[in-house]
Amino acid sequence: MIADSSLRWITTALFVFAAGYCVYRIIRAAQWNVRIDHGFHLVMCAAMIAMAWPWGLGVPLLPQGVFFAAATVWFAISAARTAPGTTGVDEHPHGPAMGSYHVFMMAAMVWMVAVMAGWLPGTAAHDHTADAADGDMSGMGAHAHTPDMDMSSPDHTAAMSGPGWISAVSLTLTVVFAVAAIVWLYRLFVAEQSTALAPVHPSPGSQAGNIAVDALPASRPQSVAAACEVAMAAGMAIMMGVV
Amino acid sequence: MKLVPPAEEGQAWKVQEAKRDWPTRYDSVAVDAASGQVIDKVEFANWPLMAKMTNWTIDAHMGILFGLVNQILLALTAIGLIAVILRGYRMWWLRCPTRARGIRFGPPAKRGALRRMPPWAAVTAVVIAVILGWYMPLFGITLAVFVAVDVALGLRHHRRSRGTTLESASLPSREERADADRAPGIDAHNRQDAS
Repeated sequence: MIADSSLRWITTALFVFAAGYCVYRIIRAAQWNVRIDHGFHLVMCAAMIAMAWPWGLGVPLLPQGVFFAAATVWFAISAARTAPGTTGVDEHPHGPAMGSYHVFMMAAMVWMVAVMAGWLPGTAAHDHTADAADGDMSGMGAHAHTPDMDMSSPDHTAAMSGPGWISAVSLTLTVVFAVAAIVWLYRLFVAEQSTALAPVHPSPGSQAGNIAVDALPASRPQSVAAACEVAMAAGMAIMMGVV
Repeated sequence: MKLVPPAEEGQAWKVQEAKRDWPTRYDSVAVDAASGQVIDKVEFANWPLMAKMTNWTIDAHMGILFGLVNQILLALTAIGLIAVILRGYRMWWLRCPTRARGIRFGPPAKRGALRRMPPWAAVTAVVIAVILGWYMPLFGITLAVFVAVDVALGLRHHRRSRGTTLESASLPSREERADADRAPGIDAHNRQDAS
């Protein structure tokens, strides 16, 4: 759960945007495997939204862990079977590198669920129900606050962080996803420039009624897909760093 | 120096330094009222960096941190900002069409400034804006609202332009010809402003 309400809303907005794009792609995709890809991402976005809110702490973790493990295997097989140089930009942009990135993302989801459930060595399951009832965890916000002298209360930080290697892995994942968000943002602007510079070519077979739709530059789907990836990567970075 | 009485029975008194000019001092101690013993101490040197930066930023923003020099710099910054804002409105006013009937506003700035930047520069600008917006929420919220409105206007403009993609190949309408006739006047205003 994210204690800081503003950060919680920002994270929710990021994943709602990404989920909306996934729904759009599921409806519009022509291939069933693309629909499954976006279906996994849609569930991932829903899970992340739930994890950000107090009510989401009551969602069972075991089904989530199994689901995201299956998603990791799915994307791994998909990446292994994808030929290098595949750039289906009008559908989901795919290639081995992209597939590997999505494998990494789903594996990070498994990691997060495992940490929350206390499945890792040296950790214990956290009392989510108590957190949900509290609605707030002091010291978990992202804002820099002036330290207040609350000397009568115990330090929650040590109790929540678990073993050092878990914090180190989570921090590494935070940095990786933050860098991924920046890379995707770069690709978004590259795609936007391509959109702005691309000549508009109506398809030869277009009818009078749908010429305007066909005249869209081909790189616009790339921009929207990149924006979705920016939102997912930024949201993942926030969740890995805070939760 | 601030003395904070305990909020509940059994808690300690807090004694906090509040020296906000440089060098700042924010050390604090907790004192047991019954025995008079110092039972805990928090030194400013041990604060997290971001907490220190927050306090220093607030003190500098209020003109307290470096005294008179700080206040002169803030006054110059304020005068500069006011000048930029007023000059911006002047530029906007000079772009207003002068021959049109009714209430008409000047043409907005050309869309896509961020897109025309090199991608690495655009990414840097966005990252800096996000960081500043997070640590200065009033700036961040207003910027987010502005961007949302601007994106909505851009999408509307994009949809309209999609609908008229092929119509652009036809002859210009009477209104377009009139706008073209007015263009030299607007350019003249811009040149006047640039001079």
